[in-house]
Amino acid sequence: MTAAMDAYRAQLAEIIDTHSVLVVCGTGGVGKTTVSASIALGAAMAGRRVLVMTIDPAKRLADSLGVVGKLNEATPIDLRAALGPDAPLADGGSLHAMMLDAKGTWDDTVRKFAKTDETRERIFANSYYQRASESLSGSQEYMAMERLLEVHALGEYDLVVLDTPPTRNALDFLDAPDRLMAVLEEGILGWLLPRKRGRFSPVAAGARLFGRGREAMFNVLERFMGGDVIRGLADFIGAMSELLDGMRSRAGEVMSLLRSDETAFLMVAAPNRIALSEGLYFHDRLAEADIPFRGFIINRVRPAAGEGSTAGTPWEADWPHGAHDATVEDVWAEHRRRSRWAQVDRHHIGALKAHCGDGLPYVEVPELEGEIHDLDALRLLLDWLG
Amino acid sequence: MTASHDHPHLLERRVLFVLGKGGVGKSVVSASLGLLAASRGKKAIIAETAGAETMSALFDREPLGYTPGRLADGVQGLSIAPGPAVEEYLVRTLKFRLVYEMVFRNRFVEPFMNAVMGLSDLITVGKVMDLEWERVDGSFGPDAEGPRKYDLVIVDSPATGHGLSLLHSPQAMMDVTRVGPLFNNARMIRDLVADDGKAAVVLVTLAEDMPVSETIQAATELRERGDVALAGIVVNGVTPAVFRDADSAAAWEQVRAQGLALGGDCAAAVRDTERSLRDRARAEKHIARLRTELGLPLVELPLLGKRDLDAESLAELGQILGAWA
Repeated sequence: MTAAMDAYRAQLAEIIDTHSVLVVCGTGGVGKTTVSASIALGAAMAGRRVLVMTIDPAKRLADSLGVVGKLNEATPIDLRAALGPDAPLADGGSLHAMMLDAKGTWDDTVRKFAKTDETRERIFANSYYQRASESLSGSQEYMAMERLLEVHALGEYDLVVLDTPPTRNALDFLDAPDRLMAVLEEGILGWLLPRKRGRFSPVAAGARLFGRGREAMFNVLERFMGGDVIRGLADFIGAMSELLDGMRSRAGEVMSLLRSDETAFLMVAAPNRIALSEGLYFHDRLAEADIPFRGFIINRVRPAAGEGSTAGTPWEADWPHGAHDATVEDVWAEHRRRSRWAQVDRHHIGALKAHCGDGLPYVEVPELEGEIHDLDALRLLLDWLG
Repeated sequence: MTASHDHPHLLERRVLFVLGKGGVGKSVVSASLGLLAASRGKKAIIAETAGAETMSALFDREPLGYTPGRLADGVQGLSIAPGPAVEEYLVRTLKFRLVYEMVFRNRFVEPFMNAVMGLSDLITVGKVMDLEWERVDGSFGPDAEGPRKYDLVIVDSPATGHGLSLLHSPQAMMDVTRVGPLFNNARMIRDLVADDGKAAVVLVTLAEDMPVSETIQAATELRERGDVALAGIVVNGVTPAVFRDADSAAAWEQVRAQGLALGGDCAAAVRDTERSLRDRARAEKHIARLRTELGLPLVELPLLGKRDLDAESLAELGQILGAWA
């Protein structure tokens, strides 16, 4: 472990210590969930009250976090039982885990912001509601933020670690609240419904549809999709419009929390071209959006034993010829392959640093062996996170 | 089911959906399949979905647009973006310019319609089928004749969850609409996707716990729904076997002891080999699980040591796929 790496680790530890919300981003397959859980575990062991919110953990990790089948529910983890009597646990620390569920959060949002029981029931009964709550662009991301805000407001935790939804574009969730609002409010609503905000009147909507020359449009849509479809959609949208005032103010609160001093964004990346180029993009976009980006965790860096000479033969390294030269050559080929992988990874990390500059921590975590699916394994990861 | 005679060989199909979890190498496999098809004299086209821009990076070209462009000799590429695809679909396929003008030119309405109706997924699959139908003379459709413009359409699909709903979107649309032009069109697309002789899914995974579990889940779901046939599994990034043959492997313990005693680079080489042997054993365990649980044809792609996967590496992977396909 070099001095520079130690410095990065110290820097990361400081960031974790001094913030109350950590948003951990990254593309799919880079180990974001395990890194998030590990950071949360470390902070809990150090005596903080921590909640880790995750989207889709591997089944066995979910098992060990105790969140299987418990959507949107903060589940306490018995650290002493999980880590054993010898684990160093500071007083006052605790760890909760929560598996996020976009659908369930939508349901809660509807319950919270629907002005009447009738609206609420109408939304739940609408067949488009389920589809929209699962697949409306930005929906999952928005709901993660909504949950974050709620949990943060409770003040029961010193640190909330949010493992963000796995989007191909890791930044989608930043635009998500705005986009969702725009879609719901300006989109179909502005087009199908009367201008009056936040209220839906079937009579007025009907007048708009039929009374102002919209009849032709309705007819075309009816032929295109069927009348039931159109009526169902109009009803759904009408009912949803009642929720907008509440949701809009929440979206504003989410953005202020994300921009506040309490919040730090970390990015988990793997040392390959695709993952790192998304990391670069992320770094630049956050800066534009005035969001506090604090550092990179480069996961699954492939280790090589020794200094990694990639050229030459075993005989040049003074391995004497003998009865098993073929095996020695195979072993040497493996050595060369691993050294080359390590070099490739170094190259990519170097390019990342060159782009993003000094001042940020670039914490490297080697590719660990086996699956990380219990708290002991998460502790191993902690050794590298500082 | 091994390489069964009941099923066409991989490259005899016309459409391959490359499906897998994020980060497992779907794009690399798509690109390699394209180069493989081209090396066998086929005209291939790779369709990017969900706004990905990986093909241009892999082939070192400008980002792809909706109009097909060249990626390599015999390999074209395009990016199926919802916007132009929706226009083409509604205006040209369904002759509903009015609907398009009224509804879909509105930038806020479009995402909503796409999400609620699953329309953008359906249209993406519809565009793929258009490519399959397209003839050299520009005609297309189920009844078109003449030489085909593309022999093989390779779809670099979105990550598993979204990829599955993409494949299910024709049926989903039929369930919602039940009658009308949209229903009829969705049925036509569904029938083509479900035609085992024409279209199939290639599942891509890594030899690791979570991707393997997700692959088994996806395969089970596809089989239950019957949306599309399963061609096989590509296990990407596998640590290759360390020793060239059994004789070489048999001497490992002696060589290991010797290397550790020699120290320095020799000991490092031994430690690297130990790690590779453990990695390989784990990979084999995951591959065995895939084989037992799914019984599909399976091929391993080795982890290459290149800095960036260049055309040469993609062609190399393509040839490995070729021995299997």
